Amino acid sequence: MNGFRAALALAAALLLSACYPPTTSHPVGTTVGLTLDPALTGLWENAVVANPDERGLYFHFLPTLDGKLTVLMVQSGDKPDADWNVVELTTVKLGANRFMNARLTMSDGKPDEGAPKGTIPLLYRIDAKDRMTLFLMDEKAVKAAILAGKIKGTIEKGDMGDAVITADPAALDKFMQTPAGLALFAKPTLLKKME
Amino acid sequence: MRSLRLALAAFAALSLSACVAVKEPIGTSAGYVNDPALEGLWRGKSSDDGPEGYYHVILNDDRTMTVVGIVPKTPDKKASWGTLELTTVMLGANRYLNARETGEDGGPPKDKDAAGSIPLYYTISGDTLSLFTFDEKKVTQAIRAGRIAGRIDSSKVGSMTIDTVSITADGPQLDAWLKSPDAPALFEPVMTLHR
Repeated sequence: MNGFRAALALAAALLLSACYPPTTSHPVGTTVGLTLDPALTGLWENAVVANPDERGLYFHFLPTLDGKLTVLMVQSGDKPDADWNVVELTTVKLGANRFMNARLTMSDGKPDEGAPKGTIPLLYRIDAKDRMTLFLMDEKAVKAAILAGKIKGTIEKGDMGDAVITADPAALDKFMQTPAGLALFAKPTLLKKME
Repeated sequence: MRSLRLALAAFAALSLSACVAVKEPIGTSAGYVNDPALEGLWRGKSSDDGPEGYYHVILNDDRTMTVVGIVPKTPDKKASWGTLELTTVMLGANRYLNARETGEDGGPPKDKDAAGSIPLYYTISGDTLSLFTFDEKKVTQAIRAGRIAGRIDSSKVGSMTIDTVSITADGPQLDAWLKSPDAPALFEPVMTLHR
């Protein structure tokens, strides 16, 4: 399991999945403008590790000069060979909801060449107690939505085939604000802001 | 990037003041064994007025360790991050590490001088990690007294005379010298980290 998958698995219960989470060809939110959410800046830790064999994960959200975020994810725990990964992130507020667009850039110090070309959309919410809930898209639900024609996309062959939402930016942003679009986000992971 | 450079420099004892060059890293004759006491997340400041940095120490399975260092943004400096490779060795009762900068903000180190290995003495007491670098004056005295092979090169910069101190002893000689119970007295504090 590569580092990013391990990290996301911890973050989004993808341990049993052999494929990447659904991606979009265009980042979510380009029609309204991607703006950095300053509330994310700092150090976060996943608050709940369901399986004792799983490792915790630190998330460092670092703003960059071009309005993006660099996220360093480092596994915690006292076992050797912790994975660490680097993700480039953009954020946007669409209606009442906040989204991230994530793209893996590095795993354990090496460029990740196996990462999908698009970006991975995540829905997130931050409460008053500095807790953030991250939602990844549910792969089966995304595939069903594509097959039902609710959103334009492609599905690779096989049970493990990756799903890519290929809708244009306007259609994508409109869809992501509908109940049908928001319903695709599941697999919540709770993070707690440490500093 | 300067903030991270300074932090990593401090972590690796590449302080802007004097430093002592060594012909070989410490511990080549004894063999490197990762020190599990170093693993995990450490925090510390590289200067009194700088932000507290985060240093994730990861044990690899090849007798090296990786440090992922992160310096948060400040009002006048952007956040930055970088990586170091460490090797650790125990000589007698003394703990040493060799640090080498391997990455900076996702790319290679920009400072070519940072490519070398920096020797450090360290202690761990509870949740405090103390790092020490060679004390230039004490090493100079030791070289002049013939206790260790070395060279002091003096050069003039304007009206100032600058000494460059180099230990030229080979690995076994260096390790034998640093195995002594008195060896820690050759070092001076450079940075203190805490869990």
